Amino acid sequence: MSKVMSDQATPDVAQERPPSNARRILQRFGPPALVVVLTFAVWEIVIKILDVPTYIWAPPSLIAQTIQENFGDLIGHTGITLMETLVGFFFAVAAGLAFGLLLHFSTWAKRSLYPLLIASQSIPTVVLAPVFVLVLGFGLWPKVAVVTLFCFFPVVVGTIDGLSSVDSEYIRMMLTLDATRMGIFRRVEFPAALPQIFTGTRVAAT
Amino acid sequence: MAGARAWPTVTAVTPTTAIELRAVHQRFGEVVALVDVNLTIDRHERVGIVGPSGCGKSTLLSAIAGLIQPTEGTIAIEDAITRDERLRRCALMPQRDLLLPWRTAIDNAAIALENRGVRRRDARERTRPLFERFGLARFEERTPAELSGGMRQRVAFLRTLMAEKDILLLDEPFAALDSITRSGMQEWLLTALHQEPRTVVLVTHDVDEALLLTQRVMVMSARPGRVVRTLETDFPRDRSRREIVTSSEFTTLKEAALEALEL
Repeated sequence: MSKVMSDQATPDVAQERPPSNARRILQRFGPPALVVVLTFAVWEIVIKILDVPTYIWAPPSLIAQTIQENFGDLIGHTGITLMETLVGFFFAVAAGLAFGLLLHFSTWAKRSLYPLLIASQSIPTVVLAPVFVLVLGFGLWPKVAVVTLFCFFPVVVGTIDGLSSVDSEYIRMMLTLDATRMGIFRRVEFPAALPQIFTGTRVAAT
Repeated sequence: MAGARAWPTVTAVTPTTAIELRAVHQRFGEVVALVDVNLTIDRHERVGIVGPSGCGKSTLLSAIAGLIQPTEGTIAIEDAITRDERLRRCALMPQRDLLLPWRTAIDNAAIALENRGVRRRDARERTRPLFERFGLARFEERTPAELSGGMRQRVAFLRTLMAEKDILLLDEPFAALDSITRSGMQEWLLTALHQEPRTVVLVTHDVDEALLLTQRVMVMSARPGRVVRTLETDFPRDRSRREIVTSSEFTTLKEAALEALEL
């Protein structure tokens, strides 16, 4: 990004002095900041003019004030949510990778479990959430379970697709070079699949 | 196991026959790929197989290598008859270099040693002398993307050599290169094989390449593939590629090959 910007900032007119640092920062962050400020201003003004009750639509000034008053509470709860997300994400990546590998190495597992896995995606998470609460209580774990469930699928799909889309010529080549099944996995399949595994992980994270 | 050995040595086997194909037929469903191929290759002999695209020459190589088992007939490499045993005795060099982009040149060339359980550092040390010997010194740590097509093909050949096998199966090794690079590579390969004799089966659709690099050329017909003509070649080692290609013996042999190919 910064490279693109600096390319644009030095046009082919050689005499022109390169813009100073402050100016570059202003060029880059000025326009979006202005839009944000304008949006808040219009929002505030519209509420003032139309006299909308604040419990229906709060103006930015009131929101800022409330955040300030409850800052301690907010930080604490954000921390817990972040924790739930990270733990759930960690479980999802670990389980997704393990499950992907299992399906890759066992044709039987792939044939029997992969269609079910895909079908299971049609169950909405909202339906499962109450079940988790009933089984796991109200603490951290039902939320972790929901996050895990949500993130699990893209990781599995990324892993399986990545591993099975390796060019078969590489595998033939490795076979004539004394590779074992494990050697092919370690030296060819897994490294080749990494980009897709990461794509799956990124999809899971967002 | 460290780098004391300067060159991968191959356990000496008594001379005579290295590869023997008897009445080999190959079918893929309805498609008949090979019909009654019989071939005996001596140890350290170089044999070329030429034929039009789709005549089954790559299939033949896969069958010799042990990647597939022919529908009928037997293929023996020394005393090895089963697919797995053949796989252990051959090294295949494919048309595409198939270098792993995340490994450096030397780590690519050393992969067969790693596959056999040699530690990465030792594998590298044992591979290094080859890079100097074959004009790739200082390119060891480059990634494949940083190498030219000819250099990548050399690294691929070194990788095949480092498998330390007596039998090299070359599947159109230079087909992806431009003609000038290809000429250079042919000369390079010829020198390399004179330094390090191996039993070579070279599959190509380039008649010149087959005549130049091998001692015997089998001409195959279009599908279903069968051997229609065998030509003995062997040009003296001290002559350059240009001298050979422009000689009258070469032209005569080439005419015979082209005639057999019905070109």
